[in-house]
Amino acid sequence: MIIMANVQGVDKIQDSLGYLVLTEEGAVISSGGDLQNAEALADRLTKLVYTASRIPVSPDRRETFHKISVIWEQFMYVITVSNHRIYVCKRPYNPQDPAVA
Amino acid sequence: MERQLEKHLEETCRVPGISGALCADNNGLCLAARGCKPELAGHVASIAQQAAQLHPNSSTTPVICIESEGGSVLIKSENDVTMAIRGNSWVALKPLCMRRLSAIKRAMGYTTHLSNSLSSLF
Repeated sequence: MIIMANVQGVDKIQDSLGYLVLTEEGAVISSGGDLQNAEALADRLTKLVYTASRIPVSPDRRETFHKISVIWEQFMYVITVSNHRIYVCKRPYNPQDPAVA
Repeated sequence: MERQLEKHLEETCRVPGISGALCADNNGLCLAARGCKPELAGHVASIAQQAAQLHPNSSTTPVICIESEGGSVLIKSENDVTMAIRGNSWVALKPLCMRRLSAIKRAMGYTTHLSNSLSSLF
C-alpha cells in the first residue's frame, strides 16, 4: 500500500509504456513497463530536470515549470515534479498534425 | 553571417505569442538572442545534450518542451545548432520552430536539406 501510494497513479495512465518515480536526488522509488529498473536513465532524467529548472519559462522569475516533455519520433517522456518526487511517464507520440517540410 | 542569423531571430520574435528566441552552439556559446538573456545559452545547449543522451542510439535528436502556466520553451538541436523559442503555447510554437530552425541552419551555412527528421518534431 505504501509503495502504491508513492506512485500516485502514474502507473495507471492510459497508453503509458512505462513509468518512473524518483526522489529529488534521482533514486528510483518505483518503476514499471519499459522503464523498469532503468537506473541509468533515471540518473540522466534527474540531471535534465535540474537543468530545466534553471531555464526561465515565463517572465515571472518565481514561476517554475510544471511539465517537461522530451519528444522523439515514436514516443515521449513526460516529466513532472510534485511533493519532492519526480514522476516520469513514457508514452507513445502521435502528433495530430505533423509538420511536413 | 551574423546579420542573417539575427534577422531570422527578429522575424521569429515578431510572431504573435513569441517572446524570445535564442541560438547556441554545442559548447553553449550564444550565437544570437532576442528577448532572452544570452547567459541562458549554456543551459539550453546543456539540456539539449542531456536529452539526446537519454537515447544516444536514436537517429534523431528530441524536442524538449518545458511548460508552465505563464508560457512554454521549445528546444531543438540540429547539427551543431541548438535553438530555443519562448512563447505562450507550445502548440502554436511547433510549426514555427521547425521553419525557423531550417532557416537558421541555412544562415549558418549548413547545406543539408530539411530532413524528414524535422517533421518528427511534432
